[in-house]
Amino acid sequence: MPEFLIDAGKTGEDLDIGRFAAGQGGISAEPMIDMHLNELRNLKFKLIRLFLQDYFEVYPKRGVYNWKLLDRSVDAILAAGAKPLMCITFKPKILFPEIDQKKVEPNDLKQWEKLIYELVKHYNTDKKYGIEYWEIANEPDIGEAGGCPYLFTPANYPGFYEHTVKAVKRADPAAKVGGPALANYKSPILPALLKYCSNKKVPVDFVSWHMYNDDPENFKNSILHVKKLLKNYPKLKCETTINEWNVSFGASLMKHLALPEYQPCFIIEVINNMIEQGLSNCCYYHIRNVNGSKDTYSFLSRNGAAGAADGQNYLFNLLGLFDYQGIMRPAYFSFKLLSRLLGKKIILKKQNSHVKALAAYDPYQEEVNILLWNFAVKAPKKEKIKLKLTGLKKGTYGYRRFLLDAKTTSLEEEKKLKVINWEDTKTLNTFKTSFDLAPYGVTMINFKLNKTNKLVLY
Amino acid sequence: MPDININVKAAGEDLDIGRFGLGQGGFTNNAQFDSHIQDLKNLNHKYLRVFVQEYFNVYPAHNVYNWELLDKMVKAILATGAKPILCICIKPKVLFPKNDENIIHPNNYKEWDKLIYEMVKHYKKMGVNMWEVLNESDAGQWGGAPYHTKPEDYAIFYEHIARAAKKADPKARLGGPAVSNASKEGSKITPYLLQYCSDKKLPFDFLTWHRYADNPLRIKESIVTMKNLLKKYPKIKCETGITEWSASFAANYMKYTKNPAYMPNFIIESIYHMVEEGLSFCNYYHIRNLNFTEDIFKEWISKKVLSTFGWCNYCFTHLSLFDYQGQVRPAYFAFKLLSRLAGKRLRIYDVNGNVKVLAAYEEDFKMVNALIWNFAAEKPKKETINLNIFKAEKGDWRYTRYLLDVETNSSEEDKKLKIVTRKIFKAAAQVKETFLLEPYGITQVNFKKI
Repeated sequence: MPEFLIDAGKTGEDLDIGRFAAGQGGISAEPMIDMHLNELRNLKFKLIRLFLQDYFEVYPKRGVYNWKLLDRSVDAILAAGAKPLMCITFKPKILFPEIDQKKVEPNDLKQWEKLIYELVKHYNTDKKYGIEYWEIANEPDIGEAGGCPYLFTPANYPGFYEHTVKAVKRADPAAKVGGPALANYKSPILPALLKYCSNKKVPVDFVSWHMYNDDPENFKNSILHVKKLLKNYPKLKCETTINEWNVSFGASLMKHLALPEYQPCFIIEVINNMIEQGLSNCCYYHIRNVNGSKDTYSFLSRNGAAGAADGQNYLFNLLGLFDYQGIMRPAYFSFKLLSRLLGKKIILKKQNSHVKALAAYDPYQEEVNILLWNFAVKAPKKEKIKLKLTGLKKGTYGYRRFLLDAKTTSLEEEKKLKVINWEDTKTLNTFKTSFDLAPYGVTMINFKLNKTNKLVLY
Repeated sequence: MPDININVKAAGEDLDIGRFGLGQGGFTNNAQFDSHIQDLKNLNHKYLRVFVQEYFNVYPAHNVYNWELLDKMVKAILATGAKPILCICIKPKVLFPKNDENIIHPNNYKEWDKLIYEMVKHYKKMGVNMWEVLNESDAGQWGGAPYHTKPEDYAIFYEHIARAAKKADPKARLGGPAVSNASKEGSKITPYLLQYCSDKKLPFDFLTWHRYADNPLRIKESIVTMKNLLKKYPKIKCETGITEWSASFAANYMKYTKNPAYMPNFIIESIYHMVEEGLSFCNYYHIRNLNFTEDIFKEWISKKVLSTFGWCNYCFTHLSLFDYQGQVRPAYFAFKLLSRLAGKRLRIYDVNGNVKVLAAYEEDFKMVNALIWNFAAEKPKKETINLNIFKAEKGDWRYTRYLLDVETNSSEEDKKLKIVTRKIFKAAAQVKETFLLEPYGITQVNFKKI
């Protein structure tokens, strides 16, 4: 029987939960998320990763910059309350006349650097958007298979990276630059980049990689691997980010469709691992599914375009927080629960069960939020949970407990996040409760001080 | 037990499924579907028909053109990825001072022609080139638009618009008469118009009519009738379009409510007949239900007719892809499944009984999509299907079968379009599956080389 002793007074650093955010795209020139701005604002994401693909037509001809289409997507992200993480992955025709994923050098580096300079200047000087993160290429280790037109090697990525980031920094010295957004975190591109940057003092403010896998343990291992690698380059002070991630969406599709409670619980388990391993931030892939055609990918080869459109239309089912018609999927509510973990992280004892907890104390609201979930890759068993909350200021509290229902067909929040308890306590400074948690169950406790000593729950 | 044999090598002409599109309206000057742009984009339609009604106020005063409201509508259509078919139904007050459906001709044809010229010129810049002349002018106001014409008046009116439009845009495509009665020859208006255009060598690019019926065979019959009619006018080379169609929306309301699978079946079966009979395009009526308000019509629809329009609030329930509150209805998913039939048509012969198939092969994707449904106007029986896809390029193939679930309360696509089979076939050139298909069942097979 898992027992949780939670001392509200024993807090660590600000949990800063909003940094565990999401990405969108790169499957359309349309903003895609613009129908969901309120829902996204609710989640308090700090970042939304955006693919700067060729369909934005930012450089239609020599010396002509066109930000009109890209502005729409950037503005939508800002309207969602987040800042974009700009993943530079376009290949303007005049600089890359041939469609070939292996041709990764522009035919005129000066023009390329000017384009990057103008891009950053447009958003951070002219528009004063203060966009912090600029990432160079997307999944350069797999090229078109990742839906983007660059297939790099360890030999040619660092040089391209250097030219690009120097242009970014010239336009905005405060910008953070990084990459390589690997599909496989063990790709030799990453050590090659780190070595190059360390030796040549090229800025690298963050390193990024991706992971689609059903086992949250593998996410943890990837963070350990990259952090270990970074220790070899003590001159580099880098943030770390997994800026595309989700369950494996090909092979395991049927499993997940049959068990809709797996994914919401998996999301929380993965983010807990990220917190535990000190990952700087993440972008869950992705916000909204949309259908598309191969024409969207005119910058890829015929096969590459067909593969990208096939993925978008037939394989993305599990990925969106919103499905193809904009219907909220259960995964959305995992992020909603996580978004409630405001304030400082409460330090908890390590648990030796499948049930884990993440808790935060918000001194402003004088409330404790505790998220508990019951996860294992192979079905965990139902658990009886005992929870004791100590370190509370003496007073009466509003006690609420919510249970995520991933199976209900209703879209109403009250049905998805069912209220199990909604009551006032007597005057106390220690609170005890116990309840059952089903396999892949996700529950959240909100415990809030009634400051006026009146009932908070009318 | 129907056998369905799909020969991947037997790809014929491009199915061009996107030409079987949608229509909206004509209730308000707002782009009524603007909260569904992405959902419509998903359907990959080529055409979306809207009514250019008086509420757009395009000609508020002599020589004053106001495109602001109509621009919004056109931009919304373009944002869905479709091209607008603009059905001209306006009656500007300055040219038609009296509210009378029987007054067809403007009080100043020179000014009217100029208005049409300016409108076509303006929208040419936005890529609009399909113009339909009037809506259900055989029914007049009962069809929601303010013209009730005799054949000879319609023809003259058409000629003015056609000439003005072609002057503004020689590439403009003109058509009509969008009659409500397509049971014989589309009222007397249609043959008269064809004769008139043939004799006067007027541009005539597409022949249109409407059809609301419970049995898709009525839709098929209307195409056969119109195609036979066209044969009498060999000089006219035109496309054919049913620019409004759906199930009959009053008499059988309870039937659709009790059997929610009927409507998506009806849609697929009807489009199947359209494909078979060589219809050029269609616009299913319609995208989004809205509750009706009198005010918007009162300037140009008589009080008597308007007083009966309240039925729009009750009888349109089962027509739309999105209901009055914008909730997606099963009909949407019929179009979604159809939209997947990209590429060249794979003809399937000799399928027994009520089960039918529409299939296509997309060479770039190396993908077969086959839509299979079990429809009859009166209840069909449950069927066991033997599916055999053969002569595929040898290799690894991903086989996925979806089933449309119209009963689920969930709006999630994964629940509506349930994946019932998913397998990888290694080094295969053929796949077989035997499965049951319930009465009104709709299933889709996606077979993709990986």
